[in-house]
Amino acid sequence: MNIITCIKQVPYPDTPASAYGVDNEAKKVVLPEDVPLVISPFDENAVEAGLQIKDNTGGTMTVLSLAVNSPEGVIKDLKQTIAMGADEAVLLDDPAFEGGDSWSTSYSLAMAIKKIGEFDLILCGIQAADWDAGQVGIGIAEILGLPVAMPVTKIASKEDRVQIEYLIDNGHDVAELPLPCVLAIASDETLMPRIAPLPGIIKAKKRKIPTWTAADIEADMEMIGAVGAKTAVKELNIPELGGSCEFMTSEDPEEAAGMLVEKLKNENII
Amino acid sequence: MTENNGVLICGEVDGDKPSSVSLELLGIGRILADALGEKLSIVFIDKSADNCGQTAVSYGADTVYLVTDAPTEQFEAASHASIIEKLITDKGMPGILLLGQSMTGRILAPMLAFRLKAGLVMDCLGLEIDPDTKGLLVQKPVSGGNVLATYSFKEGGIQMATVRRKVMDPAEPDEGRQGAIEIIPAGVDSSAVKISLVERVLEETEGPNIETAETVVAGGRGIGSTEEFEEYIKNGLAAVLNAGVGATRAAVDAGYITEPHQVGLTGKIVGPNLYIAVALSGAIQHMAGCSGARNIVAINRDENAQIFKFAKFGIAADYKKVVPVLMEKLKEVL
Repeated sequence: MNIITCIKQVPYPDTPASAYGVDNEAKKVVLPEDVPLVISPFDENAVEAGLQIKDNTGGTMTVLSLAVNSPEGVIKDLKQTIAMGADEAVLLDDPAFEGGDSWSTSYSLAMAIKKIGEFDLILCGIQAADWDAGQVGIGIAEILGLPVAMPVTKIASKEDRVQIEYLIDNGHDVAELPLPCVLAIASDETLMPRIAPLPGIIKAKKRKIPTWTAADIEADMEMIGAVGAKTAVKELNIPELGGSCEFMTSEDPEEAAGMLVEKLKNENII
Repeated sequence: MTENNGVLICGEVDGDKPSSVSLELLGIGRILADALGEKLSIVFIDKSADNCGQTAVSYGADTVYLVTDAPTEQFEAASHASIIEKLITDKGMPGILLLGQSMTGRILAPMLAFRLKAGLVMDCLGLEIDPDTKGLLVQKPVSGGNVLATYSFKEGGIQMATVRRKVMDPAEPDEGRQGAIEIIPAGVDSSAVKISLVERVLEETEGPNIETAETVVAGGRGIGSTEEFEEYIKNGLAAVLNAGVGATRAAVDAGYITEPHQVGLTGKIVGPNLYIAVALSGAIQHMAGCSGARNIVAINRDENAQIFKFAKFGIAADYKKVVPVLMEKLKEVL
């Protein structure tokens, strides 16, 4: 089976809330320079899901990413997926991609997928940990006219179809989708990303990652980046996190519990 | 600003009634429609949707469309999207299209957005009409909830948003309110269905429904074991308070309790009056599911745990020492 997995680079998602700032001129979230840039967690699950299918059925996996933040950093992420077991990787990098929303990003990725050509399965995470938009997997599917499911937690390949599990509001569905299709992957204990083996790391180091521009993927310039976006960030704010926790300060648990119950009663919370 | 007109909601049916998020959406949709001087419509696609019409009208709808002959009995995104696409083609393009941020909305909304060439913002906490442009402005958490972003839409298309549960209480129903109720044929056959369902596995939550409970007690991996989760949380504090039982992703992955109890980005969104967070750190992915709680109480050994940033009251101590005495104190006053 030939798989294409889309990943995005994001600032380390467990960065403490206090580190976040905003730049309302550039409409960007600002973080200290020492916050590492990593593969978005659900995308790592998608990479792992793809590698597991490849382990079981053979085939290839190509990893695709659209450059954000630093292209060099994204190349490092793509090399990491090669070290983990991916066969090929492609970076989309062009100033024209900047300022995109889910629409422009889905379109650019879909055009790159068309250029790659042969595939049975497209995987991506359900949402990236920076803008949490949650649309790109479905966007790619709709643009390419493919069936799609989300949030998928388990995949088994069955000749011309996949059997999958995806979450519903009060449980999960077991279902089948014909190939080719798109699956947007959520986290699951079976999809924890593997550690890249040493030979993989050495192999990945030597690889040159091809970079494609908007022209390379024959993108309509009206459809990409800020021009192709249908939504725009107007303002960013740091939310107030309550921020004023009142601690029951007694060292004695019984006294602290008593104080808490009294507070809850006084404020009619219980 | 466009020839598109009115606010349309994609409703969901729970049993044979509009789901709670649909009633919340009607309240929000009514405010937006009134600000524009336009009509509010809602569509329900479900074989049991027959009874949803008058309820939806009493909660604010001007027109209710009922589709009871969809090609699948259960929700199936591709065919439902086709039904709504067809409805919109027949009845006219809305200016605003709203869905709930449920598992259904999460897939249906982007699918519709890409088919209708609409801009879409998911998981919104606030929606308003810009008084100058008459365009929709929406607010959503980004960076896992560490930043709130306000979005506007490009002029000329449908403006779409999904709305997180519990961001607004439904309006008071007005039983005497008048509206139109239309039964619409799906007009879509099984060729529009893309996913074949093999099996639906419903996992009922134990105890009160965490999405509607007034109080939720949640535990994290810090609880330590399944036995302790049962003793201190499920059969302990939650039982005393008659509360729903919640858990973090890590606690579910560790097997302390089943999936439907998970609160967070990939789990349930809850908005109780009181949320008691026990031995959980307050990771932003978890808080995405409970930041709508009106009062958060945190019990955690680590006084620097992030959960205290969200909490109104906190006890920085070992939960095993606090929970039993807290249960006793609560029994005295409840």
